[in-house]
Amino acid sequence: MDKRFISIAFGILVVFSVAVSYTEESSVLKLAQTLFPIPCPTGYEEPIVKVITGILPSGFQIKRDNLGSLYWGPENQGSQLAVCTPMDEAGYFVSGINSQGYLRIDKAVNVPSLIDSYHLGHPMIVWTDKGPIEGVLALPSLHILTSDVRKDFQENPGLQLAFLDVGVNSETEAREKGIEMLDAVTPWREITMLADGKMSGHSLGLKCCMALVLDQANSFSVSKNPIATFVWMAQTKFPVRRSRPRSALGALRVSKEVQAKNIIVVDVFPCDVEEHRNLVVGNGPVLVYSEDKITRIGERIQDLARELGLPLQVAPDYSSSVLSPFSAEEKEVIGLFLPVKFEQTPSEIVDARDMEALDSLLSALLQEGRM
Amino acid sequence: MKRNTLLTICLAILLGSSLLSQTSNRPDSAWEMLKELVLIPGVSGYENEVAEFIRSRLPREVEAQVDDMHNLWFSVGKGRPHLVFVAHTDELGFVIEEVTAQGMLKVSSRGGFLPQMYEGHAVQVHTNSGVVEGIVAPRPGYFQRDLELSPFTEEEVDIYLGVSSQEAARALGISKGDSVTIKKKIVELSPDLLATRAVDDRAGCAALLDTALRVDWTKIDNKTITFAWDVQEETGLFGASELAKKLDADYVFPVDTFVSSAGPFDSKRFAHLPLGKGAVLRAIDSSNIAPQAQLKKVIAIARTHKIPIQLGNTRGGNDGSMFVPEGAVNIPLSWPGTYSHSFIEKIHRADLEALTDLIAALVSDWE
Repeated sequence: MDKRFISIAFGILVVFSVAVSYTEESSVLKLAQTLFPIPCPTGYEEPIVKVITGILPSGFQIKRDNLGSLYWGPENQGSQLAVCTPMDEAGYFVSGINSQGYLRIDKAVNVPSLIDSYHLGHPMIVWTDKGPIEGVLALPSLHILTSDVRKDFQENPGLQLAFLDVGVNSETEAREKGIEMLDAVTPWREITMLADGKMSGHSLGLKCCMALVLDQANSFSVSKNPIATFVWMAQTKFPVRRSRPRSALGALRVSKEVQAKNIIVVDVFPCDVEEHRNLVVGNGPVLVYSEDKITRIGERIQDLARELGLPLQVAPDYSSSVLSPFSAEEKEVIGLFLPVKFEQTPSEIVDARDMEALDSLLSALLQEGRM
Repeated sequence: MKRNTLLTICLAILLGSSLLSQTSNRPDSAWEMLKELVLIPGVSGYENEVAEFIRSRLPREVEAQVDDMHNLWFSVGKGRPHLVFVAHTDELGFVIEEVTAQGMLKVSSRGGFLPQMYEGHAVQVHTNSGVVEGIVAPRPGYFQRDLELSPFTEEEVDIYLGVSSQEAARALGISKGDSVTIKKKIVELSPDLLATRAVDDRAGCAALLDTALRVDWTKIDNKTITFAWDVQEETGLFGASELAKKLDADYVFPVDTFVSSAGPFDSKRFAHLPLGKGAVLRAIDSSNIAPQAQLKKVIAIARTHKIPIQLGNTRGGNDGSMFVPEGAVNIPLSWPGTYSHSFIEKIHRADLEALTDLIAALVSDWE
């Protein structure tokens, strides 16, 4: 099943590859392009796990925890450092099929309904056991639109208005296509190349973070004795109930599983947030830490950035649900985040230079640890 | 013996189905041309690329004319009646009004649509030096869960190109007056069903072009036939208005969408024509009432040729209405379409093929 998903997703990738080919590509950019089309809604991470495990060098045993997170590295050989990144995106699933064959969809992750509404009137993909099925989220026809429906769309848009049209006329026809309850649903996605080294796409920042960690893992063969364990964390968009500060479920599980005392989390940093307007996409990765808790590694990252002439932005007071579980376990945790603009919209923007800088910083740090 | 007969029958079926498939998938079929046509940018007032594509595909024996507005047409035959078939080449979109000091683009709309469809999505700016891609920025505070929403208007549309200054935007070739379209994607819901932007009215354009390639124009006698592809329908039927003065039609057959209420949000009180059941006679809309006698004449011709046809009323105007004050009878031809004026306008192949057959039959049989 997953192999089929992945093979078709790779087919889609060819189109993206052509679109991106005119930029000067690094290995991390190429990896990001490879991961970009693969669906990974929270709780549905198996297709992306298959791709990552297919790319990882052989040698170390791949470990999974019972929420699906993926671990690679010498975890049982005294590794003191873990580099962790989320591998799940906000997505949808089939929650109903009506008698006319329209699919109703729902989400497991709490995303503002305005963001859900960005998909109305746009292409989507249903990931079935028989392969991906293309559909569109219906809109009312403008010429015969009633004032009530118009008001709903303009002032209260959201999933209650989502009817996914997969080109059938009945529930039976929908099921004949292979569609079943709880199949994953994601927006159809494509990378858009913008000016000045920027690019955009649905969950592009997340895929870039996954690629950054994969690139680091790839640069260490077993014979070179990697000093870190690399972790791709499942279910990080799902919160632990009643957690304060808010904790991501998947990160909490990883924080208990991983033996390393020093943790670097690679995640996206939303530059649209009002209190962080001073941080900008294109001005370098963002070092995230609690004000009173900058770790030795955090300090070293700042030194390395200065020594290597790499841009680095700092957000000492940023609260992250992915970082907080590690702090609670008394790990030395630091965030090295990729700044993004328009987070979680169909056009999440990243800057290739930020990726390269983050890659170089991680690389230098890990290289240094080996010596 | 029996085995040989069976084999022969199987081979014949295989050969037959293969030929049939080749016929319906030929590159100059309306369905295949539609897939090419929808991808050509042609915001109202910027239709020249679409017109040029159509002109380049016209049969050699016809003499095409293009006016300053980029209306395109050819006429064949002589005498009366004069039948004009017309589809529009323009589509909805934006035009750049301003490049801000921060390098963002402010726009105005061309045609009627909900600008919120663009929010957070990729667009293409069509400059003199090529396509530049951008993103319609989500509204400020879009990530807040308690954001009170009001209609997202064209004044709120800001296109982000990746740059942060007016100079940098201009260096990309951006100028005031450039047109903007959504970054298009054709969704093939099945081999016979697709959804994309600009089916309205590139499907009409494709039906006319396919017919133009199928008709034996040397056999047109005792009547005049004009095929026209006009401009600026979405912004006020301006191209049709000009053509109506030039062409002196007796009958005009605008070829455009029948907005069907077959979608999940639409009231089924009227316009409820299903997709896949044939061409449509758009008898009544917001701009025209087609005379009963002429409707019956069209239906009779369709029946003679065994062309599936539906009859209905809907909303919206059509180019033919501009010919009526000049003395023509307006008989709109259509296909049933859902999700009108969106990026996912939906059309069924059988309807487009029936429409093409109907146009060919009218060219041949109308007297």
